[in-house]
Amino acid sequence: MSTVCSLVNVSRRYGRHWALNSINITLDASEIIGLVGPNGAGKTSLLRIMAGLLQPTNGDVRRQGGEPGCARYFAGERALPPHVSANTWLRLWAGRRRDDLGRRRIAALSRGMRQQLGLEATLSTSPIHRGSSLVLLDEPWEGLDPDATRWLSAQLIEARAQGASVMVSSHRIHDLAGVCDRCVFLKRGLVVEEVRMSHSVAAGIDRSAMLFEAFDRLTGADQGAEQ
Amino acid sequence: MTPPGPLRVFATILRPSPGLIAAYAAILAWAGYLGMQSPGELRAVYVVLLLCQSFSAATGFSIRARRGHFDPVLVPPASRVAVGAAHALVSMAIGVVTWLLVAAIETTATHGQVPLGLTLPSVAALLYMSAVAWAAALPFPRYSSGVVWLVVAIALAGAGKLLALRQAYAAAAAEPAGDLWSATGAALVFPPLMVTEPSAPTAISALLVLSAAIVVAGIGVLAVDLFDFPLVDPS
Repeated sequence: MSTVCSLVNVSRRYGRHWALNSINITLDASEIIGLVGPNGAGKTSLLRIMAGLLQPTNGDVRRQGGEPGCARYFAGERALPPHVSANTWLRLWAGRRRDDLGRRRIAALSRGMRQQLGLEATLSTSPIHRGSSLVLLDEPWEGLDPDATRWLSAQLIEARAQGASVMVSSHRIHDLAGVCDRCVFLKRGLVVEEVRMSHSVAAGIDRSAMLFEAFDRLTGADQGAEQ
Repeated sequence: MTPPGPLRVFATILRPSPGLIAAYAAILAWAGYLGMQSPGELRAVYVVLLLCQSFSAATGFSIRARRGHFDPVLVPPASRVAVGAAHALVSMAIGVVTWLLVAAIETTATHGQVPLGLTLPSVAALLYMSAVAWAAALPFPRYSSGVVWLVVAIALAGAGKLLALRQAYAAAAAEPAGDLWSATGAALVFPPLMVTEPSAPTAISALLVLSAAIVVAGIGVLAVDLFDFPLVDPS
């Protein structure tokens, strides 16, 4: 399996605060990786560094062939320009329009509709037919209704089938468990655990349960320390 | 689908507000009226256009970038230099297009004479004003450099410095060996002088202002190239 992107000892500091600390992660083609962690764990910073929007303070981001390319990144519905018409945005990125959106501006849509609009735009422009493509989604399931949730999961699985490497940060463990090949757990800027979903099959454990257990270990350590 | 280029994306995101479009439409109507009644007074239209351009070219960059609005064009392999240049071009476009339309009105009204708007000093003034307004607003909200420029102009006028600048500029025009640097300095501080003063000091002075416009725009593009984009919550 070819490596699409690898992070080598990546750290990022904001002022005196280290948001990420010596992160080492490798993303392969045809793989969906979940990124899980409590708020402030460094998930968004990590995705933005991989997308090339943030420079790491230390370390390297290595892309296939040594060149950045073909990354698609969606930071969530708040990153959409609110004053632009929803159909204009969709036509711009996906080359189509949706009748149900009418002439409404993005700001006039519900949160879930904005989220789906942003995801449609991002995934439509993903060059997922190329094995080198990288799709980075920050909290993509937030605000989506069950139909849209299923649609997104199907899109991610399709992207993987076409060779894309997908990294998804989310607090929605059930949704992640449905699509991920492995999950990376972040806490205070450190990778504290990596769970391969294939192990759940081998152990006969439910995928969601395995991720919840790992998350409990992640947060339980904190609670133990507080006690 | 192939992702659209930065020019197309910025043309969508940075579309001028209805208020600004109305202002430019009013300026065009005024230019049309003056073109029919007294073409010699079109000079005032260009000065107002410069003021409008100081607002419209100030589209701002970093605040929207930190909110993630520009993420789709900033993600590699897009060249940041191309992104910065596209942002500058789109920001300046409406003012430049209106300027050209006013110049066309003037040409028609004066039966084919070279319009004031297309003389070297006027073009230098427009491009310099556009570049400074765009670059200075990069870290700030929309229209910020227009507001600052207006305040500076009022302060200069209030302190009587505007007259001194005008005299410095006009003196250079009056004498063959006039002080080139004083004239250029005055034009850099208050670019409308290059439009309001009928005689330009020298072509060199206008070329220096034009060079300053290119340098300022270059610094702005470089700033976009080096900018870091941590996400901020817009709420």
